[in-house]
Amino acid sequence: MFLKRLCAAHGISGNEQEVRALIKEELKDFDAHEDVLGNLIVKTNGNGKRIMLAAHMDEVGLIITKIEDNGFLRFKSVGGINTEVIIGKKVLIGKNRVPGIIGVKAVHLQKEENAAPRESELYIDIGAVDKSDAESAVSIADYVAFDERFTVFGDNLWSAKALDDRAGCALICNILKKFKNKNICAAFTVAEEIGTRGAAAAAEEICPDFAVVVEATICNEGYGVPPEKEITRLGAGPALTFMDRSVSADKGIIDSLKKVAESNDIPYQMKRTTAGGTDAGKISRASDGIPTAIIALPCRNLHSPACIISRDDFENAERLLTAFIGEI
Amino acid sequence: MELLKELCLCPAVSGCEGEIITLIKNNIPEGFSVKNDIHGSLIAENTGKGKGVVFVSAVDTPGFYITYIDSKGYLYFSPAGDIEAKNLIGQRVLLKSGKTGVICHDEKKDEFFIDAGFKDSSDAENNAEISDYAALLPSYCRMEDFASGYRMGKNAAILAMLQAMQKTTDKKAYFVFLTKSAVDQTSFAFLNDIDASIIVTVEGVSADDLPKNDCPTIKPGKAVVKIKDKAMLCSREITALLENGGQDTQRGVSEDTGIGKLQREFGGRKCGGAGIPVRYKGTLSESVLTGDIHRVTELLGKLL
Repeated sequence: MFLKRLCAAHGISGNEQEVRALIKEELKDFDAHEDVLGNLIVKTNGNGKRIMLAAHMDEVGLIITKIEDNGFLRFKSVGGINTEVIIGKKVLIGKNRVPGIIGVKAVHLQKEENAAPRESELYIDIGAVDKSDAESAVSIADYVAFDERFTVFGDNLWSAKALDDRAGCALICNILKKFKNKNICAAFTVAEEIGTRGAAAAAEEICPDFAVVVEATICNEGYGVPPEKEITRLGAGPALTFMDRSVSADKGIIDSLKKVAESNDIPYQMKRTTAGGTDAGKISRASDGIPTAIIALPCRNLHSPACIISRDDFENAERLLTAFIGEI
Repeated sequence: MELLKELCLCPAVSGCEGEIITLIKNNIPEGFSVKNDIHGSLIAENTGKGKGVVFVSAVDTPGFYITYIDSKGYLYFSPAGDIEAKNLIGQRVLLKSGKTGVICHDEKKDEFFIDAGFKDSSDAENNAEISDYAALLPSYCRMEDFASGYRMGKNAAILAMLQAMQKTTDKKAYFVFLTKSAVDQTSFAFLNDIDASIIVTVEGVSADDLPKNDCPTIKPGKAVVKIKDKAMLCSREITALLENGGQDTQRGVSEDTGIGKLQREFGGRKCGGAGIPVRYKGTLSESVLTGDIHRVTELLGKLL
């Protein structure tokens, strides 16, 4: 399964080459190139309106910033990570995938029992006996990815690291294969998690008639969250974003997506917040302005080692985008 | 002042500025060609010649978007821009459907919602849907020589721009009415197609002539020539152009207006700013001395 391989690849923001290589291989029959920033642009050869589809290749993770005398590694997060969810998690460091575990001072020794640990209080233990032992295995600036396997569980659910946004990448790959006769430019972007840095350059190059970003988004149902505070619900269909901090989605595209979903019996939901941000913001303001919309996959534990999405949502998002593009 | 009233009574939540843009469009004088960019901003251009002058004003304000309708017909919402419901408890809102509601607070649960008097969820769903805007109820009133209302500073700036359009000569001029400034999503792509030597932002600038302030830095009665704001350093050259010519002006420094970034777009442009003093800026009762709108119109006219 391609998505499983995509999630297993390491692609912390700024270090997306493994993911890019996998996508390139998957789409080897297409005209593809890498831009200066590292975005992978893949084109079909059809005619008609130029459609930009975008998903980001990068994932949140960590980067080594210091090696302590005792061999423990200090790190900084790359992208937004809640320190509470990474304690005790297994990680893989650098090109050699050196295994490690994220540690923190034992709970018995902590002064404030309920306070979330600061990043500076955490460390990675690779079992090194001292600094020079650690330096023989890892270096400062090595990227650190979560070591979490792709799992199928529950009622058609998928769990893995980096489903945000490898799910979007996999979905767009599927769409490209279906529409070789359309004029689609797919942008697999870099560095979305650290300020949507790649998207604008890709959009300037592609200069499409309109763009659709396929993303993973916050799913906070459960956890005692009342319905009025739910942002999306797992299994209720792909979510359409009307506005977030980065973009006011194009109303024409949103209305068309809704219409297509309703006429094809595809479940969908509106994303029920104006929080969050995606590549869509930069894309919409690129060139002379690009009408842009977002199809989002509800994702529990977003930005954690164990993201969860629904296979049904993934398939319905693909159906929705297929039907939508089919009508263009 | 009838147009100022119309502008004030028109909702313009960031991302849903269609109504106010239409109103502005309908009041653009003859001799201008008009277009909208992808983001809804309105660009009016005369047939003049030479390097152009660009006047820019933002039309939108922060507001709310409906995110949930409960079984009793209450509406829950999410903010767009710098606006907090906790400061607006009891304030009336205008829904996209034209219905009005009130921002309410459940103290026990510390939750905010809108009560628009709907009987139940189906009544509410007939009058509102997720993604509809809820604007703070537009208002307008006169207080002696002052006009007061929500978004008065921006509306006064829009009116000054529309009045200045009447003064254009054979010099090339562009008047741009920007959307999405309050959510920092404004597109400056219009600059791609404009050959301009000067860009002037037009906006409301906070006046501080409070009862016990004997030395206000900005007060009503004079047009403001901007020196800087948090996003923009004004060109000394443009400041001098605005200050020359006999009109008594005051220099001003203002907060980030969300449009100052245009100075740094597309290789950089020389920017200046003209402002209308606004009392109680950022509140529901922004107040401007109506004579100041004409003063700013005259100021803009110097560049035409």
